[in-house]
Amino acid sequence: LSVRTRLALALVLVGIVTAVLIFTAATRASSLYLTVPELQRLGAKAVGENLSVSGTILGRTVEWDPVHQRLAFTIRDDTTGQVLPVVYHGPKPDEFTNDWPVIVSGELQPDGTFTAEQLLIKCPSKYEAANTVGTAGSGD
Amino acid sequence: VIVGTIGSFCVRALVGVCAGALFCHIAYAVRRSRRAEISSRAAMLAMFAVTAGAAACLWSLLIQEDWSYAYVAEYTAQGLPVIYRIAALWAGNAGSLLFWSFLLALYGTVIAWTASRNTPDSLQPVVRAVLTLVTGFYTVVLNVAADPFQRLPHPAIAGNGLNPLLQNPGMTIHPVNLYLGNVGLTVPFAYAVAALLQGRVDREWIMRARRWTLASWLFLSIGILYGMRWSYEELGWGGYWAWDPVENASLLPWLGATAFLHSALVQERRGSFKRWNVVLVSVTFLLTLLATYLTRSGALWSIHAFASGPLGTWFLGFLAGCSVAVAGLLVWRWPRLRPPSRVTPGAPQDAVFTLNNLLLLAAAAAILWGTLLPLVSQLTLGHPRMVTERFYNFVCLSIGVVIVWLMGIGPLLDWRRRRHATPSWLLLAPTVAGIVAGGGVTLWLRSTYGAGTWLGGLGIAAAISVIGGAVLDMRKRMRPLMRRQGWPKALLFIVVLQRRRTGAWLVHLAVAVIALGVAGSGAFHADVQSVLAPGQSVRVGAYDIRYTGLGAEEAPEGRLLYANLIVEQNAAVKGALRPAVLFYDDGEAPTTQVALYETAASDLYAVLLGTGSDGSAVLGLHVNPLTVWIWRGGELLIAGALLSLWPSQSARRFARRVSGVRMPGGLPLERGANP
Repeated sequence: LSVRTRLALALVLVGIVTAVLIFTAATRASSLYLTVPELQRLGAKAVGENLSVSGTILGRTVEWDPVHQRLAFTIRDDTTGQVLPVVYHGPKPDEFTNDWPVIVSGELQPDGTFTAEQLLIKCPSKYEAANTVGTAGSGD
Repeated sequence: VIVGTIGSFCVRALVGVCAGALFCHIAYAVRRSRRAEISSRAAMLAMFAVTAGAAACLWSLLIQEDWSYAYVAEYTAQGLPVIYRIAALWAGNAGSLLFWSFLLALYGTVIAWTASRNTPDSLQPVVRAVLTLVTGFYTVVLNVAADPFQRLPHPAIAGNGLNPLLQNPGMTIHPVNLYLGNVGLTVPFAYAVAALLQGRVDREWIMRARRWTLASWLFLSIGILYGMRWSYEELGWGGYWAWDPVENASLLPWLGATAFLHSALVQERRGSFKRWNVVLVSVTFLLTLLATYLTRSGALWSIHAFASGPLGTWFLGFLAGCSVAVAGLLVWRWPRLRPPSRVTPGAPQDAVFTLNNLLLLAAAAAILWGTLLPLVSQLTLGHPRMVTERFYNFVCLSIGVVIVWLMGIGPLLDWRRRRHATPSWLLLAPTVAGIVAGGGVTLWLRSTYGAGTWLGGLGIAAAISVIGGAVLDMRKRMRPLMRRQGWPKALLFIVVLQRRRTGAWLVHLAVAVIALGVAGSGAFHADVQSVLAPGQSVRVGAYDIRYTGLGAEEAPEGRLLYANLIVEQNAAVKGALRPAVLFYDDGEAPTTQVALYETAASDLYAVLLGTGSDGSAVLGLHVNPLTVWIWRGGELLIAGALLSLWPSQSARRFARRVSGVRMPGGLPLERGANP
């Protein structure tokens, strides 16, 4: 084999390895992205799956226990009005008020509550240029 | 009102000015006379004057707080400091568009007016035409879909104001640099189009395109790094990168531009990579459009709340149009882009650079795939899937480690010889040093912070190997010069006359330093959440943190509640920290203010999460090792890129003045290493 062919083979190999890496990682480290009604349609089938659910925060349901770092709240779907109770362990994001859209990532428990590992809050401010709002996450 | 009317008129007139300018550039392209050149240059200047006029009008309205204009009412409020009223220009879509066309017209004018009359740049007319076309696109959108000078039927009583988290100096630096970089990448694309159209894909276009790419790349880097710093200081979650779609969108063109900076070098020196470079520049430009589409269309969910609107559709259409046009040009000119026959294929440098490009683009592909997955899976599977942070951290950081490791070897390969002229021990030495020293650092981090990740350890080893390789490389360059000329002249020669090579050397060193910071803080950190009564202390990492009590003070915007912390290490007091929460008088949600104790070894990052009834405080405490290296590396990177961008005439003049000796540009060493 000439130097050129060997090089081409090596590069093709690198390309294939990275492509396989990207695709397998994407299927393993991804979660189903749902709205509250879609989640409730799935019902018990959704228990134990890796899920991300979007909705808006119901302000009066927010219970924050700083000592135990436990944030409990309910999210609602704006079109159907269906609700989902959520529990999150970790610091409460700065902007956590009524009616703000949120994505919770985690698992549905058999009792119907949702245990979130990560919260993503979208700030309704129209200020468009940059990091508008805090994420709460593991930080790595 | 008169200011608004003028501004509005400028925006309308801009369509005509762009059309006229385009006509002048085409006339110049067809008839390359001096008169045609002057009229084309004047048209460029006129375009700049009109965009600057419109921007000045909008700035004036924002500063005067004229709330009869929708844009002003939307993005300012009474009492907003002037600096943020100026920053409000790029707050909304309409203002951003105006700002982009202003920047692009500015770049165009700079290109047209710095074009040397002695060595005419044959690509100029088409470059100007392409820049005018893109400005024209922004102008049309400004007129049809996003008018910054829209009047309200009744003046608003009060402005909508600005989210407090954005009232940070970062707001003035981070977006502007990203815009300067993204818009700047239009220029190399314009050179690529000109080279393709004229069938002259030679050294001229690649030299100019690379220089403009480097400048834009510098702006993008500053924007991204400053955004990380801002997010780290302001958001209080202890991290600086969340793989958010908007963050990813800024990284995509950066990766494309980084790849081009390397492959352009190969074409400049060896003449290979001709086709690849044209494709790469075009793809990078298309990625900036895609990034704009993703961030402005509302197609993806992001913590960066951009107003969704018709802007996305416009950019998607423009993206499609540009892609088709570029693809057509490439197909037409493909046979002309054959590499010159004297180039021997398969030299080791070519292989290393191909690998570098492949890996950078693989990282970009992974990020693109992860970012677009919700859209793609919606279309193919019928329900959207989202990738988690783990995906990016695993895929991109693995690729990143390999890229960093290659960075230590690549620069040691000799350009002038075909075979490995560099002895293999020299190529191996950095890796060995990296493994030994990286292993030591990893063990030290593990002993302080507990288990980290494999990837983090490998990243640290790779980063150290690059630093070692850089030292070897510099020694190799300095030694013969020192022997012949003594160190002051050798230093002058290396820093001033070989500024491009030394600049690149500094940038590589800087990336390694940043990689060290990212690997250290990402893979190893201590996080504690703790409830402390006054007088109690807690141990985090190597620090003992003693809480002495709460305090409160009045701040201009509201009331500040803070916790007093004393930081100790090995029983010695190191300092005091005051993490705080700001409660706003106007009833907005309170925001946390992070307190930081930064040292070279680690950051202590304290957040006041809440308070108990008995005067106790709930504290979030993070120790992030080596984080400060990211910011210092960023400064080094800016210095290196600036050194590379130093114009050659001015550098030679400087060298002459300092040394008193005329240093000709054609020294054999310089020509060989740094044409």
